[in-house]
Amino acid sequence: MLLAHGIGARGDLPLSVGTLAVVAGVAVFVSFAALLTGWKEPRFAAIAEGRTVFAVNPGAVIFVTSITRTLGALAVGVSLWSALFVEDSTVENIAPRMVYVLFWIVIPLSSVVFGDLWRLFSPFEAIASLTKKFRHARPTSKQSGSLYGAAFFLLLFLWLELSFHRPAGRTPLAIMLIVWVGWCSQGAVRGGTTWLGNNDPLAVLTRLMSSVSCFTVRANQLIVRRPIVGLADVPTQRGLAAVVLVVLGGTSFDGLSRTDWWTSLISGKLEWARTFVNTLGLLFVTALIISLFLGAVRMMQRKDENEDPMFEDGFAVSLVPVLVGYGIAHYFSMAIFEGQFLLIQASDPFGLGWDLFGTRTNYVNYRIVSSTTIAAVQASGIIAGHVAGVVVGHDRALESLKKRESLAAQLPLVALLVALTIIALLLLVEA
Amino acid sequence: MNKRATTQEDLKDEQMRFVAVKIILVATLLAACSGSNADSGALGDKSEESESGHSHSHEHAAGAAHSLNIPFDSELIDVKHSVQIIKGEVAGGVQRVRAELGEVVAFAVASDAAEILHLHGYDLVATIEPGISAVLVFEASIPGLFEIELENAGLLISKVEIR
Repeated sequence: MLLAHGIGARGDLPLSVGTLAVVAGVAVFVSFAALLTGWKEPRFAAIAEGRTVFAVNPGAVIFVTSITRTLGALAVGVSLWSALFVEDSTVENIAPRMVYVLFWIVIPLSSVVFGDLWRLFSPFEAIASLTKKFRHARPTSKQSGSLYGAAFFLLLFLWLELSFHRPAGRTPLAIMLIVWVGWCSQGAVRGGTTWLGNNDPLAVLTRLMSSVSCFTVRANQLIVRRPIVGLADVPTQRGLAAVVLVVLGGTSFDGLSRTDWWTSLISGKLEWARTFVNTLGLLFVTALIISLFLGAVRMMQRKDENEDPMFEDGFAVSLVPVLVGYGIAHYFSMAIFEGQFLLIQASDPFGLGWDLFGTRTNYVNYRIVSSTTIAAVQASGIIAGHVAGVVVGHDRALESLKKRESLAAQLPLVALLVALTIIALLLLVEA
Repeated sequence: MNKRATTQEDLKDEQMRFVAVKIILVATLLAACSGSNADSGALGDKSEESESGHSHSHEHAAGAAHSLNIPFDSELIDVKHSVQIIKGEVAGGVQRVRAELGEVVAFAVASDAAEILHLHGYDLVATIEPGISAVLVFEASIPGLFEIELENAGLLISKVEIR
């Protein structure tokens, strides 16, 4: 599992066929049990409110966010500087791990537990607050924004990571970072924090993934709620389905590219020939996931005689936990191992021989978690994601279907979730 | 047809030579980590790496404590796995090597071009030249899936599955 095919020295062992059978069995059983015994009224929206743990003093918010966002700016700045000026090597240059490990894995996955961390650390949020005075207050609501732009940038990023032959090279990373920083900075100035929540690809992803978390901040109040119920609060926006499907497609292609079958397919294909084949692979897998989803959701919509133009975006919410499960299964070990490497590199971010944190000569401990633990986390991630997907999908169906009592109308969604889970498991077994 | 046959012959020749070749002992990167950057020559020429556009990491990773840096004796170690690189491709396709934890693995590579061999995670490197094979010898002490690559070409040679 060479994430970015340049980072990630230790890959996960394939899941055993036994684990596959157990997980798949549980997934199918839970799905139908949930359908048959499930509640008959939508419940999530009511409990998504959560309860306020404490209201935070606005001054304290400014104090904390100014520290965290300075740290965020430092992280982005160091990555950009390294991508531009430090030697092009994944040992000397910290940019590849900052991008593919910290920004892309650690922040979104930690947000699943702790709540939206990118909102806390994003330097673009700082730009948005600093320029607030100069912006005319426009009545924009989150619902009005489209997420298609974010979906497009996520697809580009996934292409760089999974298809391009030099994902960890400093030039492609520098270009990516400049585009990202430029895009988000101008948007933060023009549209403020609302714009960022809908257009910064990392912010969109982290916002979605953090909606399963127990913690959230609303109007300077720290809110605690049950896990997953926050998904009911995710506004249905145009392009929500696109964002979720693009990331699911990317993660699935990452799984596919780790199989021996794909390895032998691209073996001997170097440089752009490899990029070409991997691009076809990424597009094919993404198209497959999109058609599975659209097929299932359109079938529901037809059965329900529903004319809601944003029907599929509404149901995309039930794929968010699946996305979280996929993410955990694929990248948990990478976060643990490459995260250690990042700490080592952080001591000498520019390859100048510094030892800021005294970690420069440390080693990555590849035995810090056992293979059994990793396999258990993978299996639980997939199961939990699936179960949560079914539950959230059921709740969403009760909310948006006209024929709420019809179980048949919900069947396609359950079938879709089962199919996605089986695909994910097969890819982990073939890893 | 003819051309193909010759290649096959070459292959056999190459295989025979495995027994007799001068063995390049695995160089470990521990030295590179504790010492200055100049020592990191073990991973080959850094600038070469950059030019090829395929950079690799893990000097700090794993640590050489796991490598078996013993004087090589073909009588003692059974080289179960061998691979030939012909014209930038792995003859017979990329194969997966499976080993038990604690097993001593010996993996031999012959190539028609000079290259640097790199086992990720364990961070073992060795140089190969035409006619001079390299054998990676290591104790399978970390479980997981590890890639063996030709460092400069960025060519995946094998995946080692250790459980």
